[in-house]
Amino acid sequence: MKVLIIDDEALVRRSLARAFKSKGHEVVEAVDGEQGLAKWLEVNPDIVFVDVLMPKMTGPQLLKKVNRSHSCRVILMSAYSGEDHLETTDSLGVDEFIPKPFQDIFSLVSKAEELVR
Amino acid sequence: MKPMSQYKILWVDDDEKILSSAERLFRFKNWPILTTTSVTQAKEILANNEIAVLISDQRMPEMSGVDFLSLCRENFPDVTRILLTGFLEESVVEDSVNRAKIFRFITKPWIEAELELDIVKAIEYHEEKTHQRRMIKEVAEKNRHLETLTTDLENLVAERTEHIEASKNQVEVNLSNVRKLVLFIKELATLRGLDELMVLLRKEIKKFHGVQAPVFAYTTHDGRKRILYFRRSEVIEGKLQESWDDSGRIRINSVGDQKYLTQQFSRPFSKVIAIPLQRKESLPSILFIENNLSEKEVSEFIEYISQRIQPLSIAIDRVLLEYQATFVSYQWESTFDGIKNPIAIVDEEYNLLRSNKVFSNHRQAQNCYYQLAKRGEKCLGCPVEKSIESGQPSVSKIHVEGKIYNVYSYPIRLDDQMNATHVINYYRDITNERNLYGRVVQNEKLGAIGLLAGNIAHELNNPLTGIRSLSQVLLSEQPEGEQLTEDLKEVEKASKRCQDIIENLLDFSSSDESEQEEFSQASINDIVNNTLPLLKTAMRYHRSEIELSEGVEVKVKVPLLQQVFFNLVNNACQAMKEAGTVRIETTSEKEWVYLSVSDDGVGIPEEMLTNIFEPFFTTKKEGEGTGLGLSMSQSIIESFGGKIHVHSTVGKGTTFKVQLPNANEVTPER
Repeated sequence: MKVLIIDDEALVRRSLARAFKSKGHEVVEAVDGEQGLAKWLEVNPDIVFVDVLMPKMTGPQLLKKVNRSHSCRVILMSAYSGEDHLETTDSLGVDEFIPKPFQDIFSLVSKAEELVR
Repeated sequence: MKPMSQYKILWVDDDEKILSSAERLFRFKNWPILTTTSVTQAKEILANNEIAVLISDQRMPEMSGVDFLSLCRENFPDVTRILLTGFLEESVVEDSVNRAKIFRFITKPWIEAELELDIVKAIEYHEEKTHQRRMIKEVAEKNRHLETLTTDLENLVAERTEHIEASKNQVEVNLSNVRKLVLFIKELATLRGLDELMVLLRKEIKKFHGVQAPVFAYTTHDGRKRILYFRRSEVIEGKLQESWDDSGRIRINSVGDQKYLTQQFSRPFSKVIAIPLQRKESLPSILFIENNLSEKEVSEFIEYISQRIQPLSIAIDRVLLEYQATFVSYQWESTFDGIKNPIAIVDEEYNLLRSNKVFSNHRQAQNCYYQLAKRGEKCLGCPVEKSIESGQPSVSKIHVEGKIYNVYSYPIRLDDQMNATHVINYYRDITNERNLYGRVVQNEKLGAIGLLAGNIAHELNNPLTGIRSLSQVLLSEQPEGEQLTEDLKEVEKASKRCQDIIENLLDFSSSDESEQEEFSQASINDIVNNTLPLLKTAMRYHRSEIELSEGVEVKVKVPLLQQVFFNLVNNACQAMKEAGTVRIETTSEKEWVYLSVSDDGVGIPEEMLTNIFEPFFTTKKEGEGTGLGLSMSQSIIESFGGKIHVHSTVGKGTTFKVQLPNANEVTPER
C-alpha cells in the first residue's frame, strides 16, 4: 500500500510514516499543499493523509485541484473539530475525517488498511 | 406824687383879709393858690381849672360852706374839700361829714404849721383819689375794650361754627369716598386673576346707573393684545388682532373708539368712555365703558374712575406679572417633570431643595439618599461633595436597588456666596446599557479567548499529535519492561494530559455559543474536575481541599456552569493575599445539590455584601476584573433555577455556595 502524507507538522508526518512503515507500507511525505499535489501526481498513492491548514495551499484547495482515481482514498486531518469539517468531508469526496490529536495512531493505520482493501 | 407847686389850691372866703394872709403864706411856700370871695366865681374857677384842694369858709353870704362843698362834691368829686370855720357847731360837723364828705376842718385862727400839714395831706388825698379814679377809668376802658373783643370773638366763633357745620357734611362725603376707594384698593390687592378683576370692576361702577359692564383690553409682556369682556355674567378672554387708539387720554364718545369696538364685537357701540390705564413699561391697556350717562353724570363718573385708575393699573400689572411668573415656573416645572430621568437640587448636606417627579413623586425625606435609595447615609460614590468643593461638574456611578445610575453633578450658587452652595444632580439609569455593555464585553472577551484558544489549540494540537503518535509508534517497536519503554509511556501520558487540557479549554471558550446550547444532565463533579486543570495557574500558590459527594447531577448548560465555577475559584484565589486554602465541596440534599467554594482570605465587609452581585461592582484594580464575574454568575445560576449564597467574615474568609436543582429528584418547578 502506497501512503502519501501531506502535513506541515514534521512530527505528525514522522509518526504516521513510522507507523505505516512498521506495518510494511510504502510512505511518501510532503511538507505543504504544493509539494503534496506534485507528489500525489508523481507517485499515484493508494491512500492520502491531508492536513487542512497548511502553508501555500490548504487541504481542501489541494483536493479540488487533484484529479484523482477512484481507487485513491483520502483521509482529512484537522486540529479544528466541528461540523464544518463533516460537511466538507462530503463535498470534497473525502473518505474519512480524523480530528487531531489522534487518540491511537495504530487504530488509524488499521482504518487506512480497511479503506484501501 | 408831683411837687406841691404843681397842685392848684382854691380858697373861698368872704373875708378879704383872710384871703390875703392865706395868699401870703402860700406864695411864701410857692404853692399856687387861687382865691375868691364869691361862690359863683369859685364855681367858674373850679370848672376851668384843675383844682386839687378847695378850702371854703363856712359863713358866707351867698351860701354856707357845707352847702357849697356838698355841691362841689357832686360836681367835682376829685377836689379835696376843707371847711374853714370859726367854731364847730354839732350840726355843721354832722352835715359837713355826711353831706359834703369834707377832708378836714380848719378852725380860725389857724396855726400855720398845722395848716401846711393839712394842705399837704389834702393834696396827697387828692392825688390818691385822682389815681384811684384814673385807675377805675382805665379799668373801665379796658373792660369796655375787652367787651368789644369778646363780642367780636363770639361773632367769629358763630361764623366759624356755621362754616364748620357746612364743611362737615362735605368731609363726611369725602371720607366715605375715600373709604370706598380704600376698600376697592384692598379688594384689588387680593385679586388672583383678571377675570376676578373684571367682576370687581363691574361691581365698582354699578352705582352709576346707565353704565354697562366694562370691556378691558391690554398688552401682555411679550406684546400680544388681549381683550376681556362680559357675556352675561361670564368673563370671556380673547385675542385682539388690531390695536386700539392708545393716545393715553380719557376720551368720551370718541368716534374712533366706537368704530373700534363695533368692529371687534360686530355690534354698534354708541356712547363709550375710554379710560387708558397707566401700566408699567407703558404697556398699552384701556378700559371701555359703554354707557348712557348724562353730561353731568359723565363728569362724576370720570372723577370717580380717575381716582381708581392708578390702583387698578398697579393691580393689573401685579396680576399679569404673577401670571407670567406662574407660567414661567410652570414651564420650568413641566420641563423638569418632562425629563424622565431623576433630577434633584441638593445642598452640601444632601438636603433636597427641589426634585422632579421621577426623583420623588411623594416626598418622604429631607435627604436625597433616603428619598432615592432609602439609605441612611450618602450613596457610595456620590459626586456631590466633589462638585461643591471643586465648583466643577463631576460624574460618577451610584448603585441603587439593583440599578446603576450615572450621577452628573453640576454645581450652582443659589445665594450671593462666592462658592457653589448646591448641585443639580442628574441621574441617568445606565443599568441596561451597562448590562448590555457588560455582556458585550464578556462576549467579546470570551469570543477573543475562544478564537485565541482555538488557534492555540490548533498550533499545540499539531505537535502534540506528533509527540503522542510518535511515542505510540516507538512504544510499539520497544520490548516491554525496558527503561526506554517506561520513559515513552510517560511521554505518551503527558501528551495525553496536554490534549485533555486543550480540549477543556476549547469547551470552555466556546461558551459564547452557549445561548443556543442545550441543557444537558451532567455531573457537577465532572465539571469541577474538567475545570480544575484550567485553574492551576490561579491556584499555584494555594492549597486546595476537594471533597466531592457521589451522585450530584444537575441539568445545566455545561460550559456556563464551568464558567461560574471558574469565576468562583478565581475570586477565591484573588481574595487570599497570602498562601491559603481553597476548599471545594459538592453535596446534595434531597431536591438540591450544592457546590461551594471557600477561601480563608480577607472576607467581604457586611455593607458590601448586597453590592457584590451588581454588575461592575469590583474591588479589584483596573484591568484585573470587570466587576461582571459575580453578576454574570448569578444570572447564569438563576437561569438554571438555582441561587448563589454568600457567607463571609472579615479576616476569616468567604464561602460562595451554588445551589442547583438536583437532576435526580423530580422537583415541582421542573
